[in-house]
Amino acid sequence: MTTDVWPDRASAIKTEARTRRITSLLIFGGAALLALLPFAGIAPFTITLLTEAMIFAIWAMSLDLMTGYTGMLTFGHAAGFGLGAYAAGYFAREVTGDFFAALLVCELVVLSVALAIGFVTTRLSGAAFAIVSLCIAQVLFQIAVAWRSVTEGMDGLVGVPLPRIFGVTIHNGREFYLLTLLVALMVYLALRQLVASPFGRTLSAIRTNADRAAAVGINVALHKWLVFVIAWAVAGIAGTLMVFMKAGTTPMSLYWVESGNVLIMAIFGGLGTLLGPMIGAISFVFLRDALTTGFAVWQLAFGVVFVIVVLVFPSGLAGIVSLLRMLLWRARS
Amino acid sequence: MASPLVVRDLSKNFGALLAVDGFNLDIRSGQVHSLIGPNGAGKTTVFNCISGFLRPAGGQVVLNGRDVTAWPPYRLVAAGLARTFQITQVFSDLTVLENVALGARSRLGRNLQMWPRAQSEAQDRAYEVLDMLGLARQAGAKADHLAHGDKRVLEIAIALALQPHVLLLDEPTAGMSPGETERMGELIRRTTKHASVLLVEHDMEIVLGISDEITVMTQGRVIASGPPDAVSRDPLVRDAYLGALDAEAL
Repeated sequence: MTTDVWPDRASAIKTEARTRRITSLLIFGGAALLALLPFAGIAPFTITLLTEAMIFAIWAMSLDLMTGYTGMLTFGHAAGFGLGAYAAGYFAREVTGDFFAALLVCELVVLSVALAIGFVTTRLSGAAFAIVSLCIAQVLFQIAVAWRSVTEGMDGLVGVPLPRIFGVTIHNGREFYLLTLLVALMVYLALRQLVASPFGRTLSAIRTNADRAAAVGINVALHKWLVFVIAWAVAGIAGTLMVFMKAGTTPMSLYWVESGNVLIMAIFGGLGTLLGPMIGAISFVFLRDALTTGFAVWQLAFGVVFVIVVLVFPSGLAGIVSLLRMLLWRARS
Repeated sequence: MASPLVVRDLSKNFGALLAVDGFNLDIRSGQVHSLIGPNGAGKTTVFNCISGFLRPAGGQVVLNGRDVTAWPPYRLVAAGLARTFQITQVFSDLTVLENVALGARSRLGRNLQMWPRAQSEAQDRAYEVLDMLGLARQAGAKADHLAHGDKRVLEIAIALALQPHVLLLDEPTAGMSPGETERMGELIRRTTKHASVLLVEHDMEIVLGISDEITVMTQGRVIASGPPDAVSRDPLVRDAYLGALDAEAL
């Protein structure tokens, strides 16, 4: 394979820069298109679905950083999401509906819990970490059920006001959708910088071979801890958006089914690509909507689609995108 | 000048099995010191204890006059110790250059840098190391696509990018052709300009050819230590190991 050998380093850098430019074009073009959609006369319900899809996209990207890039499989990624939703929602109802204030409080809570839990759990790896992450999310779920004075148990937290930004109320529908889209875009750009940085390369080294990474002088435990905390923090952003969108939350936001859903979105879209989990989240929301009308057990139908996609494209929907790009490139040259 | 690496009375057991028992070693600056012995003698266990991958049951590891016993690997690297592995372990998803840049970045303390840069000092250094070892042409290739022999060289490149004082090489010629083995021998010899080398190796020709000192161990204990000709004449060594293996090569 002669294309693997680049004697000239500058050309390698140029190629990488071009790939980045193409992806940027795709992202900004896609974002602009998504931003124009609500003005194209689509149904309000579709806007709601799109909003939910964008929230899930943020959440799935945070999982991708942990599972896709660092190789830390988690079955409990609802933890940061649900915890963030409760913290932001409770604060917004009791104190103020200011979006940034609620987000700040959410992050303070999520960060302190993630720092403590992550310090212990990231010393584990593989299946042990996956199972313990599930246990922790389930413990949080049980706390949400039992701590009625704060969480109102299974009834859930209700009466979260509409969010306000600099005193301006953000209404449900078009306005809230645009806010969510903007946040999703910012999260994507930030995470893309992060994974392209030396820190990101280090994560990839840890995923490929943690022992070898340690022998290269990488403090594996510290890196995994940081990734855990960052992933929870980003999941908390998604949780904050969700609690404002639904004007409340229930313990189900912490339930293992939700952890499973976000994992499926990320794998469906393609782990280790950031863009993939976004596509996965959008596909998940719209497929679920389409399938629930035709099937009593929509998961069964979705399972079939999921298995087919993963079998044909082991790297997920993003694999289809890169395949198309390769074919296009071949056709041109 | 103090010895770059001294190991005193090291021991390690796995349950009831005593894998290393009262092991001693003293490496001189700029030398190739080989550690040989039959399979199961405890060579790799010694390596793992020195490099922080196993916690020794007893004894002391001293690096540049500093007691570093049971330090975690990443701290040992910062203190000037690097190692390679018996089974090739490169970062297969990354390019050859990125593999080595990981090492250079460690040395520069930039692993935690969270913003990207197109060209960095770490990559420059990595490129220099690759150039020195004759791998520069493959800098942009995925590590996974290298030939086996080149992967073994890449392992050493990653370790050298850490600019270690002491380099531990675990069977660097494993699975290599005779031609590649010879090239590796020369490469190790050249490495001593930058670091003292502790070498575990089965190829006796290489060991006798490039070593300044040889330590022989069987069943977790040192049975002889000294310059190649003295060790190869040692009747105890011939008995326990060399004679059985290949007396004629000596």
